[in-house]
Amino acid sequence: MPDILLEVKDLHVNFFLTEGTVKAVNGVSFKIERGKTLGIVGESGCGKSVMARAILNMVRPPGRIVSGEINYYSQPDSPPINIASLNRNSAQVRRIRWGEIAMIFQEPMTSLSPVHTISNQMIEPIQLHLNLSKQAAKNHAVELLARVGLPNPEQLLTRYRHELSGGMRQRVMIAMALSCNPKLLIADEPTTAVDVTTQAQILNLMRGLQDEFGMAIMFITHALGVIAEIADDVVVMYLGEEVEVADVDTIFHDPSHPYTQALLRSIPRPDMKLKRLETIKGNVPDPMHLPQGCKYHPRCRYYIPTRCANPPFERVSSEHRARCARIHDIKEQLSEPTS
Amino acid sequence: MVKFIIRRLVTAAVTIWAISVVSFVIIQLPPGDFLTSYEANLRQMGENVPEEQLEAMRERYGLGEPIVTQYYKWVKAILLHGDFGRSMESGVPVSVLLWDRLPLTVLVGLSSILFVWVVAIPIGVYSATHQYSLMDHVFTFLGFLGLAIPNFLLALVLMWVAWSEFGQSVGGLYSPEYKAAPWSMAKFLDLLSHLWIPMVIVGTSWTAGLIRTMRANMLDELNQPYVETGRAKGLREWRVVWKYPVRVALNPFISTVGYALPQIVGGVVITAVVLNLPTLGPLLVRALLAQDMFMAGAIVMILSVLTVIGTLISDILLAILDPRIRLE
Ligand SMILES: Nc1ncnc2c1ncn2[C@@H]1O[C@H](COP(=O)(O)OP(=O)(O)O)[C@@H](O)[C@H]1O
Ligand SMILES: [Mg+2]
Repeated sequence: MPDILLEVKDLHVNFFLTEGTVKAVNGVSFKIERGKTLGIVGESGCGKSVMARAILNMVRPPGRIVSGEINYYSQPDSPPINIASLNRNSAQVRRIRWGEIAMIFQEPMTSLSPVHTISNQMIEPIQLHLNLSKQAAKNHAVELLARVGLPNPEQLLTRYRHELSGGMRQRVMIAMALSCNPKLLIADEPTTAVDVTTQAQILNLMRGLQDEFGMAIMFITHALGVIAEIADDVVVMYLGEEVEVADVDTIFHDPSHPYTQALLRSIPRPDMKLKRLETIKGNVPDPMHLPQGCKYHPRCRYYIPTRCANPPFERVSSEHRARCARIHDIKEQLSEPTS
Repeated sequence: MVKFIIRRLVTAAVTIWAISVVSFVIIQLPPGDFLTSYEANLRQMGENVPEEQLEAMRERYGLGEPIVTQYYKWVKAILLHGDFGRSMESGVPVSVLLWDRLPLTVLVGLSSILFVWVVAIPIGVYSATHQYSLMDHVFTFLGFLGLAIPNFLLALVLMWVAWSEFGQSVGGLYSPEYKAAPWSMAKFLDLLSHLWIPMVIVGTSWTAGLIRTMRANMLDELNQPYVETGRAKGLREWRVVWKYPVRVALNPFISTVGYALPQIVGGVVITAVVLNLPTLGPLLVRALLAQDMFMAGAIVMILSVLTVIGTLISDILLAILDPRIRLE
């Protein structure tokens, strides 16, 4: 029996705008195991960030969680708390935020306040969730900053965000996120806004911290390449739906969904230097006017009108599912030698 | 920080000097020297001016000497003795008239700013956090109403309300029995009971604008990721809002402290006349009408200096509150 930490069941999040309803998250289900890393991948605009916020019940009007469950198992044998059913401003949700599930964002520049010191911002959740004195909280902050590899932590505490580099800011955010020993760290594109070297360092750091702190990570990215370095399991999202769910090896070596395959072909690889990178043809459709039937069909090379009207979320093997009506034909087609 | 403050102080000193030159030019503008008009004024009222006194004044202001010497003597008298010369209209020293009115002007100004902030900031924050809600629309409507009603009309209405509903003596800042009385707790309370009318009137026209500004600033800040971070930390919603985006959205407000005072003095002259307020505004109008140049020059000078000091204060406040400013 896998030890489940978080179980999302058929989650729907809509934005009710005057121009229409945006179904940003449209029936997503997945599980995160305690201490493991789940990668969420998909092109920009497919609902990854909205889903991350929904897990902390932080979706704000005009958006709302319309249905589904977010079951959080604080201890292996404790009854679950359904975060989706709690009031957005309730004390129960606020205790879970940062204390149990912490989050870091894509923009390390703007996710820190421009007018408060690092110290002020770091001490705040420590005092709130761990009930430490100001001095004890400060000492804890210093330890964490040193742990994420930042030199002169005492001095760093007196700094403001504009005095730090992009990599330093993201390290500060990571230190801050780990300050209350969360059981789950949601990282929403934490390496998108930093350069490649910094990206590698931050991924390294996160892996090291996971070994040490033992938290599970939900790692969100639009770049499948990054997933290979950190995830155990992967959810591939397209237009608010999950299109493929599998462990990381399967996703990279035996993907079933045409969208996953296309994403794989668009990863830059050193052994393919001379070939031109493929990009997925077409654009992500307007979220207000989703395609009928299979949402990926306007961009899919295997599309057959009648067959693809209502693709099932089909089980490929025990822990591998894909939302495609033609999984088996595609397998055969791919195994045939092509000229 | 110290370097920053010193630099600002130097800039302020230079600005004040430039203002003094302009004020002096204003005094010099009318044809002839002012003693001739002073003398003419007094003659007209049938008074005789002793020749010695005229001579003393001529010496005192350096009349007939080069303009630079005149300027020097004028500034020296102000700096060393607080002597701004005499009002030509009344013959009273300008400084006496100024000291009579300056504190009340500042009082009305500051209390109006306070009123505006206390009203505009919470409403702006509420409107932004409840965008397009019923109350947001109501506040917007009331704000524009406040903007559209002329001040003097509002002044008349409020005076009537104060008189008919509260039986208050209207006009001025004191009831008649306290006008000449020495300062006491009772006089102070009487002052406060009169202060609210100009405070509300001056405030109303301003508040609408500031609510819009605050609302817009807040809407910009509310969607910033650092607000999300605060929320994700598990803080209460009001704490998230007031600690983070409000703090940032307030910065532009602080820079308005500087020009609030002259704006109030200049902007509400009519109100002040209607309300018979003993502030500088009506005095300036009368001085200009009567071509009382010492008086006018001195008021322009004082108001400008107040502006410079206000700006200095808001610059320093801003630098303390917003760490990004210290960079430059
Ligand atoms: N505050 C909002 N108001 C309206 N629509 C929104 C809002 N936030 C997100 N959306 C919509 O939800 C969809 C998913 O957005 P998002 O989760 O940010 O995508 P991703 O993080 O995968 O790039 C997008 O179509 C976006 O337009
Ligand atoms: Mg996103």
